[in-house]
Amino acid sequence: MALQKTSGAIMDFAVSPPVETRPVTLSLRHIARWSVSAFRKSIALVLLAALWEIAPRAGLVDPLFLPPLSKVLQAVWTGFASGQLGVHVLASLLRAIPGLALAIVVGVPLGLLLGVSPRLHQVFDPVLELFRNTSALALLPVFTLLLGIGESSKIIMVFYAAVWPILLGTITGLRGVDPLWIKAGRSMGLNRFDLFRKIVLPGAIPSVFTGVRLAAAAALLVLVAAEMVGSRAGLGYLINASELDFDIPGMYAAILVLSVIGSLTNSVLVSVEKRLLRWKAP
Amino acid sequence: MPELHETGSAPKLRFDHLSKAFVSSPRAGEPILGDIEFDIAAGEFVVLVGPSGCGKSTLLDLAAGLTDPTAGRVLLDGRPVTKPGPERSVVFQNYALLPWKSALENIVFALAAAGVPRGERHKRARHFLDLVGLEHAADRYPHQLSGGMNQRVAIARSLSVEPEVLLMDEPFGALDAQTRETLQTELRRLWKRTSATIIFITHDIDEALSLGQKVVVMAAGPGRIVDVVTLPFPADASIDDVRAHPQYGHLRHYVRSLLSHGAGRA
Repeated sequence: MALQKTSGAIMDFAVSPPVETRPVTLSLRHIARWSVSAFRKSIALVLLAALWEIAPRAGLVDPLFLPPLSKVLQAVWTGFASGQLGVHVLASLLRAIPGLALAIVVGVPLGLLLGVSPRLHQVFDPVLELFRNTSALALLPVFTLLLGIGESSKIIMVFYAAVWPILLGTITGLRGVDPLWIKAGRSMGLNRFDLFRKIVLPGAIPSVFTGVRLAAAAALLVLVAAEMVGSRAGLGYLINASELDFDIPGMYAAILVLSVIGSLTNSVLVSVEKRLLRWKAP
Repeated sequence: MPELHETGSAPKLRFDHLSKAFVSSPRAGEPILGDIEFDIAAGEFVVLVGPSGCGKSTLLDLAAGLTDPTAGRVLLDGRPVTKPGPERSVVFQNYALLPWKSALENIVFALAAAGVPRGERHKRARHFLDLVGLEHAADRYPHQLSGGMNQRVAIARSLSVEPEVLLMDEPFGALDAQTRETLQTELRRLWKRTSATIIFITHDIDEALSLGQKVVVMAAGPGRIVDVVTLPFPADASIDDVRAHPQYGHLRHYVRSLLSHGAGRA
């Protein structure tokens, strides 16, 4: 009684015109649209840069405390040229990346576990809420006491700040999987393991990824503070140390580099997200 | 109980004193479906029509093996249904396509789940996309397709596993009137071509009367069958022909009165 397949397609189907078509070719129009959007996005940045340059020079602010942008950029240049700035950037990255990686390795599986088991979630939720609302910075002395002032206490700080968004993103992702997809999968005869692997997991990925992106931002934020308080290297340390040395352009250089690293990280993650999730409606 | 295998005309699908009650807490024990007794022959196109809450979707879930009956059983070729199987395929109202897979990949996914060998999947998926007129949309994602196109993909996905029974749960309910009518015509044509057994759920009387061969009218509280109307229209009639048939108006009036009567009692 299986369906009889026939070579001739049913005519009404074959000739029915496509209801909608979206060409995906790169045209002049695309390039023009891209240019316009790039222009719009840069207006405010250019204005900010101009203001930063002009205000100190015009005497609107004390150039000693806020040097013009060109001086700061010069400090960035000499900092990298002397290798000093590079050392501190590397020191920060060598804390941020392992901490974030650890948060992903722990947060995603833990989130999956708590996401699939409502009972387990119920048990651990109060503790998680308590921890989540305890500022990582407040725990800095605790980590220092337990782990010393070395690298491990900073990496654990980063981990602590980054793991919550990942954990919550994963749990939310699992909760947000459309029950209809699961019903469809069941009707196809998928077993529980395959339902999880082929439907629940891919369905949860967008939310997990958003969690990772928020975690990266939180990681940098907490790291800088930790480096300011007790460290001999890293951008946070450099900002503080420059201020104490009254190397004000150097301080702004470190701040600027930090902002650029943060923005670059975010835009890289956003573009990976877009590529990974190109199936999502814009 | 009647013997099932005594003749060659044993039903394809039999609902055998089937009952279903709510399982979870707020309404636990309350009946959804009460003692459903109904046979569907091989190759038959049966439409279930009834108000919301009459348990028609539950009946379909039971046939699909997605849920277990409280009492009675569903028999497929005489064997009790206990779980989903590739010989029964479901088309859902909201398409239930996986949004991260393209039209083609969605069909390939179902073929993989049904155990079709890897090397055959793509060819077969393309054939069925072709059958619903969407070969040009193979690489598009569901969010890039209109509702009607998504439902065609979903129908192609269901047909691709070559099921013996096609279970359709208000598949055209979310579509606009024009798309709905096109798909109704196409579905009739597909049914005639494939000789599949189809159970189709709707709450639209016109859809019920113009699609299949039999209309099962249901009522709520608890869900039950009030009457089974065998339609007098020739199998090769178009939907327009059916609606212009001299008996159409009379049947429509009859089914409508059954439905409003049932609703009044509920």
